[in-house]
Amino acid sequence: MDLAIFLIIDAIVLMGATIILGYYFLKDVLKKRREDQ
Amino acid sequence: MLELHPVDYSIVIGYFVVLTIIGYFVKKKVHSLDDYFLAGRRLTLPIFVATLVSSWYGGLLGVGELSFNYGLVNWLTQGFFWYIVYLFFAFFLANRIRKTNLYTIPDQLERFYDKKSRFLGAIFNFIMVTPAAYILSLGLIFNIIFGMELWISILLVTIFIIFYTIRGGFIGDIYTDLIQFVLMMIGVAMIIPLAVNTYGGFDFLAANLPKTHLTLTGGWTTQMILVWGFLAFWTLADPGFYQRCYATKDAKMPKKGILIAILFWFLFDICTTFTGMYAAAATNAGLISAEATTSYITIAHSLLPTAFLGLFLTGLIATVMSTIDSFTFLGAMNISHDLYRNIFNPKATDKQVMKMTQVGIIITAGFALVLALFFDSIVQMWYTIGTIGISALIVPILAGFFYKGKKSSLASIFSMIGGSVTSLSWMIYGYLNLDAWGWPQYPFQLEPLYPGLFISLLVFSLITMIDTTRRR
Repeated sequence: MDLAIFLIIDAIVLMGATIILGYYFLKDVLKKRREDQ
Repeated sequence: MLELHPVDYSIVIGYFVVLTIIGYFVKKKVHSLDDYFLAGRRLTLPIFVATLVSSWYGGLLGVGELSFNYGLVNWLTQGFFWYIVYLFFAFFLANRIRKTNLYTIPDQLERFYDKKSRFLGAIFNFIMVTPAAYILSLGLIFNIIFGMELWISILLVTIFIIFYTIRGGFIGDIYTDLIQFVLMMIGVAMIIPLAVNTYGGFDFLAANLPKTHLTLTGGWTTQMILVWGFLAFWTLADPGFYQRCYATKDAKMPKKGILIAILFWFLFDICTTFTGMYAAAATNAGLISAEATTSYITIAHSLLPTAFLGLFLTGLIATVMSTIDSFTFLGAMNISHDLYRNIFNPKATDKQVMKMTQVGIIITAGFALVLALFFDSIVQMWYTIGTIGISALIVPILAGFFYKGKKSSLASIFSMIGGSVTSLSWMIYGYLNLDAWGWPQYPFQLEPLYPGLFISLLVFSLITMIDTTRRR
């Protein structure tokens, strides 16, 4: 694979993975809030 | 000093304001010592991953220095070897650690051996978590962004860390780690597409870098590569890893979390290695003028537009900051939990221990400040502290977990002393005998880590054999 494409895919996957982790974090927070109520 | 747009300055300053606010208000969530030390052992998977990834990865400028100077070998020595040890930790240690329900590595040493091992282990632990290299990194970043004298930058950084770590304890640490995690991932990821777009792909790097930069070994000797590889064993005695495992909600989470964290480290390491390489290539091509240690900042300044540059710099600061606050807090726990409560004042109340932790934060940060003012290479400091700490702690910890026979506390104590004294003496000898290029010349050309680990293992095995036979 061309290095440039590999690097761009790497950066996109890193950002995507960060967003997914953030999503699960917020989901946990909301779940906990619902349980507390 | 960098010429920044006011928007970039505002983003960087805004980040510090947010940290200060979190540090100030999070105290309300602290109701017990368990909250203060381990966030009430309630970490969920996303928080565990975010805090582990961000606090673990502090030596960003050191990584920049290595990838700028040597290229791809940075990924091999700072990435690949570490992934193997992380996997070992995930599969064989993480869940066991969580099940013990303890607080620190010295707790484990007392469980395996005795209080004297705890005492010595706490001292070596304290040396390992000294955030001096990271304070120096942050001082350098401040020096470049705000144009302050280096010693003033280092002093300011230390005072700020003390202020915001002291109130919230581990809860404050993980809340700020969450923000820092997002900033560091996005900050580092956004520079790569721009570098590729501006300079080009492989052809640009091949045309402007020495050939060794594009080989995995970087022209290093096998011994040098293995020594850096051996530094990855740091993970097995890393107080931050242990603390985060203790703090999870259940015993299965640490393993799962570390596996996810490895994915983040892998993607992140590729970005950081190639950013350093692009900075070196662009410098060789005469497009920018970067120095190894601060290469990330220089290349970001030349590539990123206003606001994005501020975001990148904030990500860079966050990467270092998340490690400094975690390490400072861990050093303070060594003082308050391991030494004060468990050795000098067993009757101390939770309130007294919390107070002592706050004093410990000041002591740890102060100690790091002094070191940061005396060393001038981040990589060198990192290497020295790592070598001594690993030589002392790895053997007794691993033997504690995996050796099924009778355990000898004498063996643990003397292996810690033997390992660290050997590697330190080796190091001093090397620095007293520099070659023509200023590199240390060690006895038998062996790096200090090898004799340190060898003596530690030898002493441990021999004394265990003699001591347990005698007791029988």
